[in-house]
Amino acid sequence: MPGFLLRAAFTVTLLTAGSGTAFAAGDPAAGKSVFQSTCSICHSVQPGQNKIGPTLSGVVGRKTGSVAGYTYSPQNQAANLTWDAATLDKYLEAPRAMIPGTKMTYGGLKDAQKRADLIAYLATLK
Amino acid sequence: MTRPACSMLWVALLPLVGLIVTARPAEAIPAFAQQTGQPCVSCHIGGYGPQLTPIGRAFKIGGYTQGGGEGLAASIPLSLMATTSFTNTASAVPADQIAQHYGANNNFSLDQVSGFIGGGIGQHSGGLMQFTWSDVANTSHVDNVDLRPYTTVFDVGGKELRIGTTLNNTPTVQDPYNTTFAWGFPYVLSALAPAPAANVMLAAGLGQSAIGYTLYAWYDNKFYLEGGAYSTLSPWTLTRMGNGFGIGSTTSPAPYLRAAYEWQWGNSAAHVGAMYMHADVNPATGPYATTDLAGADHYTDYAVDGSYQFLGDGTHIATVQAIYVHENQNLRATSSGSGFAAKYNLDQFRANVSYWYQNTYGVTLGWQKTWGPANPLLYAPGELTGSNNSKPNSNAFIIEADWVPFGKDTSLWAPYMNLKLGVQYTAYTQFNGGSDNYDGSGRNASDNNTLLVFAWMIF
Repeated sequence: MPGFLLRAAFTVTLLTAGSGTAFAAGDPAAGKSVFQSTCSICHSVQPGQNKIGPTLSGVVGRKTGSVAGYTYSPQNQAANLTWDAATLDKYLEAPRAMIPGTKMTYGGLKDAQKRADLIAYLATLK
Repeated sequence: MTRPACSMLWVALLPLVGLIVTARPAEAIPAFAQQTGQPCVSCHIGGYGPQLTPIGRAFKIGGYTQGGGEGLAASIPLSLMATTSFTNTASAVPADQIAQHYGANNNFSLDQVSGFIGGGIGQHSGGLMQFTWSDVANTSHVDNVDLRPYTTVFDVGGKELRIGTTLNNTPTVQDPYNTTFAWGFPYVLSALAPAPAANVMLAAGLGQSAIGYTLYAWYDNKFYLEGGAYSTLSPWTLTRMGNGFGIGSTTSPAPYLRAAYEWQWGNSAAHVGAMYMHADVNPATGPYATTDLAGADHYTDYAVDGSYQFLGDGTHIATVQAIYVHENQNLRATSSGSGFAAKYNLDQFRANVSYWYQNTYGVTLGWQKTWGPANPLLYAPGELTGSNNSKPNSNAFIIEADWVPFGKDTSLWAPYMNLKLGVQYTAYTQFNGGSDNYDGSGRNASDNNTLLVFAWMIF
């Protein structure tokens, strides 16, 4: 198996371990493309670089509303969630349904495979 | 008639042309909302274009390429817009100045119907093209064009540097800030009410009669730098596009420079900027004709602008925008044989403040002042549209109230349609050089005070 597929499989395994929820297997390479076409207008993947939205570097595993130097909505700060595969999947599908009042005005990524790919890519951002 | 005298007559007639082409709303198209998966409020103050939020600026500078929408609609780059209005002026226009098929006052009009092609092609190219038909002028033409042939992003020192190119047809149509002219307040104008004759080149001199080719850079979402030039199109091309010459035809590429710095903090954004443009033109002698018999006229514009936006959580939104332009005019060609001096200047200041509640109910106050010395070459006496003292001075206060019931992510038929209903009142204390009898035919500036009630729909 090529190296990148091994890494992808590993990433998906990590993301879904312990969640108790079945997710489609994500491809980080495809997820990077989704990020560039859908998210990059507002988000950077560089550590410490906030744009219109907070940096997504290290987003998997961190608490909601926790990026230094970014002004979150009160609802996002009060959400008290940890971004993992399950919470990201739910959020990316319909951000304002999960956290009403979030500053993220994007309507949501409805395609489950694209969400899985995107989450797999986000998991590589350390 | 000598050519310079002919060109002076054409310049004197320009305000008449302005009467029928001044309604110019655009750039809030549902095709963008469908492409990005974002509601109108993400990119536009008040949930309706053209005033941009930081996301809207990023989308525009990004070459209209950002995606995120899903389904068939996300890949259809077409939109349709219509604007209809009621116009009342304090005094009716003179009988010989009435637009064809309309009355002297209190007119309902279908100001324009526009079709748009807008969106991205892949991650590096995109654009916006508008085609407009006006029932007032009963003409159609190529309206705003802002194409981004190529844009890409580099990592420079851990910061993002976006480089891009534009091809456009009007100075400032590609600008990301609504302090400038192509997308500046007021965003809707009456197609029937008289408008002041004097305007700076950046605002009206080459609009839709030129092709602009510029290169821009955007560093760290803060520093914006753009440079390029404009060259007017040929009469053959302009005829087919339905547009005419403004101040004339360029004798060489007219340089255009723009710099701006933006801060974003908390729920606020602010910018300061500057612009420069210079053009050497053979003066226009008609919509599709210019003359080089007496050489060229020279226009140079210097502008500074700034804005502040408080976006909050979307409940209370406030904006402030301002721009000042100083223009040096060396009208060597137009003045030839006239006995008048060639050198003049023109100054213009525009400012507005707006408040929006829940991106639904808005009120905007605007102030526009234009001033300069008497210029008999450009501003001659003439009923309604002329200047009795040949001065360009105008002073207008504008108040507008708007209702935008749609444009949110929860709106009916979002993101396929949007609607703005508004009432606008413009009060003039000076018009074409004076307050009383400004045109030499007994009309006062306040006679042009205009009430505009409009409905602006887009699909």
